[in-house]
Amino acid sequence: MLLSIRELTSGYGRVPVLRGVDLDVAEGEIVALLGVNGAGKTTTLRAVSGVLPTWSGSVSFDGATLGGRPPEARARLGLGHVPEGRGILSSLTVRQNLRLGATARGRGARDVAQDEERLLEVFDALRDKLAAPAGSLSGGQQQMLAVARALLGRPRLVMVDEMSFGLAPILVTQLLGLVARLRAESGTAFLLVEQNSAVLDIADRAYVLAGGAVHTSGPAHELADSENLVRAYLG
Amino acid sequence: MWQQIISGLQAGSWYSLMALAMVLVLKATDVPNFAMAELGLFPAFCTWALIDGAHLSWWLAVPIGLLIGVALSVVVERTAIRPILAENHFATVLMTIAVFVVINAVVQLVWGSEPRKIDSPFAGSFTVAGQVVAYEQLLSIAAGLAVMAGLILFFRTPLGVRMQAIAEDRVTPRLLGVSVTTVFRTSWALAGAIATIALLLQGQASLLTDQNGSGLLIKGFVAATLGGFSSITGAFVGGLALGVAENLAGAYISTSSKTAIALLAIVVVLSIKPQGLFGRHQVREV
Repeated sequence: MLLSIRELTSGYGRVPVLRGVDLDVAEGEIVALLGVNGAGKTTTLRAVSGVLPTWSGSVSFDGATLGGRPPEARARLGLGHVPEGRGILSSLTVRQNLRLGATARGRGARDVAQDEERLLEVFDALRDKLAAPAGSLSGGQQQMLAVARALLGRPRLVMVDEMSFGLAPILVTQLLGLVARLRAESGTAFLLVEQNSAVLDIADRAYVLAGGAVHTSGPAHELADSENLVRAYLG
Repeated sequence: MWQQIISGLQAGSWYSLMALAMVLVLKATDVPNFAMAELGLFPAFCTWALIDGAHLSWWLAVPIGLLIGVALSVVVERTAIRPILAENHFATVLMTIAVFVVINAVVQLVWGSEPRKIDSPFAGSFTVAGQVVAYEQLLSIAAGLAVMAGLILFFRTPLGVRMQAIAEDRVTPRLLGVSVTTVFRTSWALAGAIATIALLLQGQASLLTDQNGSGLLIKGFVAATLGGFSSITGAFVGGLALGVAENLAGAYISTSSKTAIALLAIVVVLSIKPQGLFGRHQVREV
């Protein structure tokens, strides 16, 4: 397994949110993490990337235990995280934001320019905006920039928190298509936190979180077919 | 009048440098650093001691002084600031005041309160269009310009971009692999060197006493505030404007009005433009 989460508990201050999450992502897999607001989806991603501490349980990535490592060290192991709200740095240009993603590769990163070019082929809408202030991008473009920026670090796994948030359905379909294409081209695994059931069209497997623990998991198409589940846990 | 403007630009360059050092630290670590000037005062006294006591040449003593300035700032950041930064922002500000007091006491203890002068190879002056210009004045202005230009270039390098990123958002850059530790250390190291340059220039053009630090600290804060506390160019222009305004007021009103001018400038600018002359509007979540 690329990412393996066992009995993970975590929370904010003293308030527990996760009460024992078990989740796996295999190499090159697209996994959807679903659930209503407050189920613990964002908290799971934050605990995996080290923004929140692991209270108990374990998180291992590519065979290494992550507990106690700071977020920047986890990023350098190849763990990408596009946070809730996208994390676009509006004081920088689009290109500076993008290049910042290469930091995860460490010193002497090579082929950054080629990788950037390849990503711009996929996220074509960013090409004409490279010199613009990142804050001037539209919501959809900001989401593309956030994903492209994470990918420039050549991660093995990218966790994306609510890619579809605030975007028109047609943009969501387009972005999900791009994610499927990136996985096919580069073999990068994705863990997609969503409240939008459209994600099940591209995911291999899915987990449904409820009350800080996994409620259901299985192949994405099976969950998509379960109407009750979709109605109860997705809008 | 021309003389007053040249002298004003010279003093203004010291204020600009101090403001640049403070803006650097504030941008990266979000701490208004009250110890900034003292972090330059101690190395300036060391440089004076190397030249006057150990008879080192200026060309050798100044690089050593700069290294001491860098080392002192890095040590203070690591031992006094970083351990409490995450805990309590107000405590960090108090800590910078404590560092100010401690360094000042050490300087007084070691070198006393007697005024010193750093001997430099830039003594003398020349005449342009009937006006006398000292080489020291040119040196101060050139050093200020060079540091500002250097910083603008630095902020375009990958490390500079990482510093700006951390200044804007403490979490997202770390998710991209940016080391906060490196960014903090670099910003304090650079600021320490720049503060040392300011105190050295002042110490060789006029006098070096244990009081220079507090004087430059206030002027640096005024200059940085005028510039909006986030802009490199703003801090620089703010310093020069303050220096010139002070000197003109000193010549045409009275010498005792100099300090009042600095504070008056703040009141006027902030009441008209609260974000400073070059500052951007910042929305802070509370």
